[in-house]
Amino acid sequence: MLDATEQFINGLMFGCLYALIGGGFTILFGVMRRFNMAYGSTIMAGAYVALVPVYLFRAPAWLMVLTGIAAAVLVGLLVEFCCFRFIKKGHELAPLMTTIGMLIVINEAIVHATDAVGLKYPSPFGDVALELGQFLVRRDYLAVLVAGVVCFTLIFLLLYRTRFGRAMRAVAERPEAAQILGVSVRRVNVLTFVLTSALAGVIGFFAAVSVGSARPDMAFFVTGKGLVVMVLGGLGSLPGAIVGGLVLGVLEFEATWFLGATYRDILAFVILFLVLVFRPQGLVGTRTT
Amino acid sequence: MTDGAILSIRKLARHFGGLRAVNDVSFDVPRGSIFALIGPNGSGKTTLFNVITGALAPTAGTVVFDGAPISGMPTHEIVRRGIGRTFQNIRLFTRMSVFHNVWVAMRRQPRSGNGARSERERVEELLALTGLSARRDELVENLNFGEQRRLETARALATDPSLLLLDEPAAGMGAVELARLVRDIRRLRELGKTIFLIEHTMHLVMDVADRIAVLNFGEKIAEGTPKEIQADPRVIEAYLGREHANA
Repeated sequence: MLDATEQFINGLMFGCLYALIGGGFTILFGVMRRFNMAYGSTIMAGAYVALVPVYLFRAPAWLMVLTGIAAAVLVGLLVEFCCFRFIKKGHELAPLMTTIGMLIVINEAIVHATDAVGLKYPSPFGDVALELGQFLVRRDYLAVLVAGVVCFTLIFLLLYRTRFGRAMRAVAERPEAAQILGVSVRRVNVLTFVLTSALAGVIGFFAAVSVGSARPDMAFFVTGKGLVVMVLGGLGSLPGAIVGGLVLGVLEFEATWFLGATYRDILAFVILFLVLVFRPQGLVGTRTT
Repeated sequence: MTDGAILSIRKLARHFGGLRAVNDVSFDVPRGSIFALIGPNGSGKTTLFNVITGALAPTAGTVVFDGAPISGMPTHEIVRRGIGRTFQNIRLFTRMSVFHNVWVAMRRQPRSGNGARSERERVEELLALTGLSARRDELVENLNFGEQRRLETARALATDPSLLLLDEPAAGMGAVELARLVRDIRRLRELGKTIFLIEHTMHLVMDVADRIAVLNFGEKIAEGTPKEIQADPRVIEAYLGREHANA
């Protein structure tokens, strides 16, 4: 069973990526009570633009990440402006439609710019697996794990240790009460977009690194996983997104091992179905943001 | 209008379609006073509060605060100019402790040395003022009703308002809590706050208010001292008569 254990470890590490994707969806949903369906394409835009410095010169990984973050933040602000800012209060479903439109626009833009051909991604963490005792561990998965831990630590510090974080939590629970305490809801919304989009830049880079390429179907893939993780953990719960992401990662890797790779992508939706039927409040089930 | 008014309502109207929730209402809230707005249910009192705090835009008319028109401004900007508010139905942050509920409302102070420490101290001061110091680490759901109302007041005070709007602060309170509320309102006035409250509990209003305005069907039908209001036949007809009959 050594290999099943190895798959478990790999699944946990890769699950950090799912947790980050779910976390991005969850933070925005928690603060604004709106779905941003263009989040997957924000991640994809980050992954593609992060390649630009590589084409120009031998860019180091950190420069790629920063470029990806910058691009994703710009795309995120565009999404906020086009799809959220002018929607009146009380039209909760309107952004669902506007962001699906934006998802299509960004995807098409990338397809046209790259002739729909996937772009090979560098492997800045090396291709040789790391030997940890009896286990072989992929270095890029290890990098994903580190990225996950670092990002979530920063997010929780921001939410619970800063002035902006407490304003975010206040707006998430009662926007009208936050407002009467002098918090600008619009400012919190825009900064939430900046935060989640920066996270999208990080996700885009690590997702493309661990897959080995940036492909135009990435947004679709990422959106599917993100929504599954979000519901799996419990809508609006950040700890839930972490648990949901790790669970999905492990289950996918075990399914690949025991059932074969073709079952991997259908598994997410089977789990989603089961959770919705038997535990609709999600695995963690408390509504905290 | 007058120098003594902290808040001036001028020909204010707010209509919802054909419903005139507030119509052509004018009055001044004198600085440093305790001013009460009374009227039967649905007479437009909370709508008026919502217009003053920017939650609703006025259909017509203006609100002048501290000499500057504030109608049309976003709520957070109005709050920063010095208006605080509590809600009729309590709206605390249930996922935060008592301390954090107040702390959320703390604005950035001009840096004068140890900023973070004095911020904590100010929260503690407000909790002491509202008698909640012993409950500082409790979750909101563990507070009784009166404590929750006091916490809402503490939170509103954290924005350092010069004008405090209280929407039915006595609703659901027993006699002991009511006595405490009267004391608290007077103490806030001594601290230099102007108090503007909506209230149904008649003896509280008559006891504590300096001036009273009466709304009925969105229009002001009377304004004056508690004595004048109690003697006003229009008020008795619209409101007090029924209230007294029930009592």
